[in-house]
Order: sequence, then structure tokens, then C-alpha cells
Amino acid sequence: MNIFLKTLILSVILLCIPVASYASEISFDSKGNQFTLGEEFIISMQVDTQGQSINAIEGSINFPIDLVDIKEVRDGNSVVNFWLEKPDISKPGVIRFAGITPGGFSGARNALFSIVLRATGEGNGIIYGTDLQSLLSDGMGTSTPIKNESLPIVVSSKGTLDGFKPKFIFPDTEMPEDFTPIITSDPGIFNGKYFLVFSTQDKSSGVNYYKVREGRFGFFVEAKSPYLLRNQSLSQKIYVKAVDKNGNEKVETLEPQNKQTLYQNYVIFAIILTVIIFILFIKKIWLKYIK
Amino acid sequence: MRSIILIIIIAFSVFFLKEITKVSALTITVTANVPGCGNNVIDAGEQCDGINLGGSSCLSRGFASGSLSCTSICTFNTSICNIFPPVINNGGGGGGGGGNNNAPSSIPNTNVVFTGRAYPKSTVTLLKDAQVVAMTVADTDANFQVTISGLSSGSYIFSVYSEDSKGIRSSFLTFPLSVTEGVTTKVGGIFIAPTITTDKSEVKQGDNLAIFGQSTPSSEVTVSINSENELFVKKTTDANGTYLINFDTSQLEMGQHSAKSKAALGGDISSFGKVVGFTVGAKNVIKELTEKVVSKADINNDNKVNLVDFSITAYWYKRPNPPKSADINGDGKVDLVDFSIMAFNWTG
Repeated sequence: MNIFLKTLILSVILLCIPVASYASEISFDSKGNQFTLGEEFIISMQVDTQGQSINAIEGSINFPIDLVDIKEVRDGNSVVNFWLEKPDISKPGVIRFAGITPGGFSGARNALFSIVLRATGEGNGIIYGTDLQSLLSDGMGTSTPIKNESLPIVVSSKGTLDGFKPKFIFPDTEMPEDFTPIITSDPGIFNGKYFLVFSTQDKSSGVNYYKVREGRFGFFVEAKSPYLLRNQSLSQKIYVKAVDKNGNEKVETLEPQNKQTLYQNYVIFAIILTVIIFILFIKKIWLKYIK
Repeated sequence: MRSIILIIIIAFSVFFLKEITKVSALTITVTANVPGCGNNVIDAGEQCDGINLGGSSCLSRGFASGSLSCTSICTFNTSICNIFPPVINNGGGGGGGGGNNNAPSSIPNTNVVFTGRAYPKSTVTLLKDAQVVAMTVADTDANFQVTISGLSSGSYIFSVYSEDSKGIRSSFLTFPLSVTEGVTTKVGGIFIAPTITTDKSEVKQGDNLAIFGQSTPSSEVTVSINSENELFVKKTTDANGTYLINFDTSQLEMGQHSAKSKAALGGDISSFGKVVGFTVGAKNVIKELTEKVVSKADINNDNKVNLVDFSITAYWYKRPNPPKSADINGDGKVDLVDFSIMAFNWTG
């Protein structure tokens, strides 16, 4: 076979191989990839939009569970404004995420979130993404492929798991930012009943969770937006607490939309009184009985 | 029995005492209403009205920085204006000196100042991480300035948009910004892209199609018309910033087309704005100018696409049998595509 024919065949083969064009790229930013047993290290997930404007992104990041333990996920400075799936461990060794950025974002180094890992086993492994998808900010949600860079890691036995002390301490004394919870209703959810929506940011460690309390004497319960209100008469104050990953809290208060009428107060009073009388009555009978 | 009576008396006393205290704690608020005040139009005798500050700012009122607002009786509220500049400006300026040597020793504010061009007397909306933080009204030359204070240090995504005199909304202009504590960051040269619409949704081939919108006064607007060969038409806006191009459609082939526009003034140039679609066909179909487009992403029909719509749709994310209102692209499921469309149509 002469050299011309060889070149021709090679060219045809190369032309037949589909060349993927990527509109964005997810990379793993880490200080090195060789760690010792027991060592803590951080991996920052970054997105390069390759000049495109992207407004939605989702995917999963997979870790070799025999080598590393996921200690924490931090999304404080994320380019994503609203999470549909806040980056979290969805199953052992997998962090799942999905979120949007209204208006879109572009650029080479957009922070997505960072993960604190601890090396727990010796050997070689790969951290890689799966089911990655980004959508263009074009009004149609056009999907664009994401080039997925993987990060090979090596954990050596030089270190030890004993006497381990956390390496990364994040100084965060700032509370989450001010926010305005909104009471609303919609026939599309909760059968048209009133619900609460809320969202805020914490630029240091990220918001960990929210809690809602209805009424002055109610209890805070962990809540997600949208939150179905128990008090549908909207006659009580509502407190919404945002707590960041370092435990700093921000509480916003909503005044009752419909203040309790005197009549309603009387009803509550009558109920309390009836209960007290009933208890005393039972007590009296019981005392008589034991005599 | 005596104890029951005693409890009842005590309970009644406590309850009525509480009620009496409530009544005595009632506050009567008197609101002074100036005739015409509250309509966002500055009438005679008013310094400002609602969000309309008539182009004034803390700076123009003699303060060093801060955020000017309007009171309920249409006078300026300068309570958030700062006498001293909170800026620790590392670069730029040099020299300068002078001014206040008696600057306060307290930690300076973390501010971001946005300046740019929109449309004359248009409302400019500023969003921080997708939530509205400030609104202002551009002056007659379409210049605007917005200052926001009290930020934490960190990365933010700021967006700005405006609405022209016909209520047509501009495209979003987004700025990722890293804010440093105690430093005033200035974002200048914002140039909001022109608005654009057409008088017909379908135009008979060979007839004229009016393409019009608003930008900065005396700016040069370039309209790009999508066809087999992209066509460009230029027009200078009038004193109100409006432009009108009567485009001869004989140059276009039958079928779907689109147009978009950008503006240039004094060396500054905007990006291309929203895309408007039209059809070249066999008849003329006049377009209703109800351009306050009720987006499909506006789930609760309040003319806004914001956190409420997001929350309603998020409730149905990956759940079976979502209602039609939540399924924005109508594919029978609520997934990331629906949220991408919502994010594109976001108003905050």
C-alpha cells in the first residue's frame, strides 16, 4: 500500500470520528492531586462557558469512596443563584446538583461549589462528572454539551488516620444576607392554600438550611421553599430563619396579614379555660376516689 | 371549688388586662398625601415622586455617596446619603486631596455604584443575585446612576434592565462582580441595548415593515435583519431616543425572519438586544402593541418572573403530572429546560 493510500484511509477514518464541540467545560481546581492518608483537601468546581451565556446547569460528581470521604460542600460564592438540587451527597460517593442563574453567566472561571474531602484509603482513583448538562440563555433552553475534565488522585500511606484534626476552618462570622419572605397562593400547588417563599445568600459559607416559625409561641421547624403555612388565616407573625454553614443566623419577620379579632382571642381563651376546669374537675374526682 | 373560681377570676383578669394593654398600645398613623403624589410623575411642588427622582442622586444633592429616595410626601429622603466619601480608592484619581480631612474613623461601607445609559425617563431596575435591589429613573438624556450599600464581600451577579416609554422591556445586562469589604466599586459605561418591535407579525412580501424602538437620544442604532444574507440598517435616534425604520421587505425571502438592534454613542456601543420575530408571507397581519409580554414563565400572572414563579415551578420539578401552568415548554414534565426558559424571562 503506498503512502498516498495510507494517508487517504487515515484521513477518511479521522473524518468519520465525530468531533465533539463543547459550549462549556467543568474543571476541578485542586492544589495538587497527591495526598496522604488522613489529609483534608479542597476541590473547587469551576465552569468555563467558552464564550457562551449559560443560565442552567446540572450534573453529578463522582468520588472514589474507597479513597476519600466527603466532609462538606460549600456553595457560598456560587455563580448559581437558585438551586433546584443543592449540591449534596445524593448517594455514597456522588454529589448531585442542579440550578439556574437568571440573566445567565459567561466567562472562564465561574465558581460552582467547592468540596472538602478527606483521604481515607490508599490507592489511585478518579474524580469525574456524569450526566452533566448546561443550557444556553437563549429563551429556549438549548442544551449544550459540557466537556468533563476528570481529576486523577493518588493517596499514599505516609499519613495516618489517627489523631486527625480538621485542616480547613472557614472563618465566617457574617450572617446570611437580608431577605424578604413572600406569602402567596397559587392554584397550581397546595390546592390554592397560602404558602411562603424565601431565598437568601451567604457569601462566606453558604446557606445551610431555613427554619419557619408561625406565631409568637410557635416552634421553629426546618423548612424548604415553597412552605405550606399551617395558619391559613394569616393571623400570626411568621419568622423565617436562614442559617449558614457556620451557624450564623438571620431571622426575618412577617407581620400578620389578618390580625386576630377579639372574637378569636375569646375563643382561644375559652378553650384554655375549659381545659383548666376539666383538669381540676378530674383531679377533684380522683382525690375523692382515692379517699 | 374555691380554687376553680379563683383560677377563673385570675385568668379573666390577665386576659382583660392584656386586651386593655393592646388597645392602649394602638398607634394611629397619619399619612400626609399631597395631591398627585404617588403617581411616579414629578408634578409642581414635588421634589420627586415614588421611584422617580428626576435624575437626582445623593451626589447631585451635595452628598459624597449613598442612596437617595423619595418620601411619601414627595420630598427627597437623604437619610441614607453619606456626607463623607466611604471610598478607599486604591487606584485612579491620584492627587485630588482637598475635601474632608476629618473623615470618619468608622469602617467604610461596601458600596457598588452603577452608572450608564438607558432610555430617557425610563425606569431602570437593578437586580442583585436575581432579586430586585434598586430602581431608578433615567434623566432626559437617558443617564442613570444607582448606588447600593451594605453588601458583604464576595461574588455577586448584578443585572440591569429597563423599560421604554411603550413598556417594552430591554434585554438583561449581567455583571459578575467581586465585591471587597469597605471599598466602593464603580461599574460605569453600562449601555442598555435598544428595545425593538415591529408593526406587523406577518408582512406581505414587498410591503414595508416598521421596525422601531427606543435607545439613548442621538445614538446610532444598527438593526440586524436575519435572512439568507444578514442585512444591516442604521438610523439615528431622535431627542426622545426613539427610532423608526421602514424596511422594504422585497429584499427578504418568504418565511420566518428576525431582527435585533444595538446602539452606539460617543465611542460606547451596546450589545444586541432582544430578538423580534416576524414572517414574510402573502398578507399583512398587524401586531397588537401589547408588548408587556406576559411570559409563559410568569406562572402566577403578576407580570413578573421572580422567586414566586420559581418556587411554584420548583415544587413540580421532576414530579409526575405537573399542571400546564408549571410546564413552561409543554413537554409534559418540569425539568431544567423549563427553568432555563424562566431564567431567560426573569424580571426579579
